[in-house]
Amino acid sequence: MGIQIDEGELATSAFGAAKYIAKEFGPGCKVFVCGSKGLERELEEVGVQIVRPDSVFQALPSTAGPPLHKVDPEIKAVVAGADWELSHRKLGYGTLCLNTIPGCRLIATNTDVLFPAADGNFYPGAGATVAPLELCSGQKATVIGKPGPMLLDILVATQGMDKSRTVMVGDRLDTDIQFGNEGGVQTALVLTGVTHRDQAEAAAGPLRPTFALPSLGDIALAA
Amino acid sequence: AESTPTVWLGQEDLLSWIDRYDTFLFDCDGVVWLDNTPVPNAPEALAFLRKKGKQVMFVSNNATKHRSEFLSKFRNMGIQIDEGELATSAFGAAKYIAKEFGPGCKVFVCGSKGLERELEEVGVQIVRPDSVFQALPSTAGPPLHKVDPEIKAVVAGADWELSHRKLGYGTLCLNTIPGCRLIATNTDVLFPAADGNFYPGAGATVAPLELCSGQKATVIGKPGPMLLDILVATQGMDKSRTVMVGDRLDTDIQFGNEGGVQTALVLTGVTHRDQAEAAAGPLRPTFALPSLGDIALAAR
Repeated sequence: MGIQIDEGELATSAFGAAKYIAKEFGPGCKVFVCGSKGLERELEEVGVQIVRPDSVFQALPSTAGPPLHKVDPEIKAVVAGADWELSHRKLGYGTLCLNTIPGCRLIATNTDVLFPAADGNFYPGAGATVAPLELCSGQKATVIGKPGPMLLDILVATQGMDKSRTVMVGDRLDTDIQFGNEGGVQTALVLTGVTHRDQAEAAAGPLRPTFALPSLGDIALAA
Repeated sequence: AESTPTVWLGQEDLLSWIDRYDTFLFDCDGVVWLDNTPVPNAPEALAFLRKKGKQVMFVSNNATKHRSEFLSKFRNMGIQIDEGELATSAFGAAKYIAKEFGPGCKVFVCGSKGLERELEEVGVQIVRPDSVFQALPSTAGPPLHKVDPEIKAVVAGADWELSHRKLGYGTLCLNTIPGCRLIATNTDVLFPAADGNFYPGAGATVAPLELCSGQKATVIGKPGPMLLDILVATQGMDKSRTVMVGDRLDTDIQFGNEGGVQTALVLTGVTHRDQAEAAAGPLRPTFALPSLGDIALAAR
C-alpha cells in the first residue's frame, strides 16, 4: 500500500502471544494451538514446539461419537485465536489438555467476536474459538491482545515512547480505545471502521475516546 | 419444597417411598446406565416398578442419537420400553421446530446425525451447502458462504463434526436472515465418551453461535420444561404423584422442581454427596438415594 514500516513498529497479538509464551514457559516448551498458520509460525519462530496429534489431524470423520484423544502431558498451554480450520477434534484435544494436565493454561491472542472477510460478511473470529474452550475448561483465558496492555508494553520496551505525548488511534471502543485509555495514552476514534458516531457519543468510562475524527485520511487533507 | 432439606433414603425406606408415586421419570446417563453398561441392578429395579403398575418414562438431553438407537440400547440391556415413554432433546427439537415454523421449513444444523434424522422425520428440510461440506481446507481466510434466505432456524447440539465452516454459515444465517432463530437441543458443557474422558458437548456448539449472533438460544432440553410438557401431553400423569430421578442438579433436579414434580438425586452419575448437600433453591432435590439399583435390592 506504499506505507513505510519497520518490523519493530508492528505489534500483533500473534507475535505478542509468542513472546509471552516463550517467556512464561521457557524456550522449547510444547503447546497445542487452535489458531491460524500465521500464529503457528510466530510461535515456532521463538522456539515453541507445536504438538500436532494424529487424532486431531489425521482421524477420519466420525459420526458415531467424539474422536478419542490421548494428550501429551508436557503441553504447557493451549493457544487460541481465530481459526478457519477450527474443528471439534481441536476443541476436544484442547479441552482435554486444560482439564487433565496440571497447570496447563489457556492463552488467547484476542477475543474479537467477528472477523470481516473478503466478501464483506463477518465470520466467527478468535472469540468463537476461546468461548467453547473457556466453557469446557472453566478457565478464563489470558488475553494477549487489546484491550489488554501487553502489546503496548512490548512497544514501550522495544521502541520507547513518552506516554504523555502519545495517542492511540482506533475504530473500536472496546478494544482500541479501552486499550489506549487504560494504557495511559490519549485516544482518538475514527469512523472509517465498525463504530458509528452515535455509539461513540454514548461511550462511557474507559471506552470513551479523548478525541474523534472522521478518518485518518483527513490528516493528509489538512496537510 | 425448596426450603426443606433433602431427605436421604436408605434401602429400608425405599418400598414405602415408591408408593408415594404413580409415575417415575428417569434421566438415562448416570442413572440407568454409564456409557454402555447398566448401573448395577437398575434393569431389575425398573422391571419391579412396572410390575407394581407404575408408569415409567425416560427424559434425556442426549441429542446425538435418534430415538430408535436409544430404544435398542434399552432393549439390549433387558429393559422394557415403549417409544412413547422416551423424550429426548433431539425429538423435542424436531417437534418444536415443525410446530413453530411449519412443515417443510428449512433449517441449518450444527449437530449430530441423530438430530438430523429426527428433524427430517417430521418433514423439516436440512440445508447442506457445498461451502460448508465440500469446500477444501483453507489456510488463507474464512471460507465464504452465501446463505439460503429461506432458512428459519439454526439448530445446535453436540456435534463431533463441528467446524468453522458450520459456525460461519450458522452465524451468517442468524445475523443476515431476518427472524432466523437459534434453537439448541441442550447446553450441557461436557459429554462423557467411551474412553472415560469428557469432550465438548452441546454447550460448546451453542456458546460461539450465541456469542457471534448476540442471540440467546431457545433451549429444548432440561432444565427447560418442554420435554416434560411432551410427556404430559402424550402419556398423561398426575404431577402430585410423580418423581423425577436424575444425577445432575442443574438439569434433572431443576427440571423436576420447576416442572412441579418431586425430585430424587442418585449418586451414580456426576454429582457427589457434598455437592448435593450444598444445593439450594430449584437445584435442591426433594430426596436422594445412592442408586436406582437399590430399589431392586429393597424389593428382593
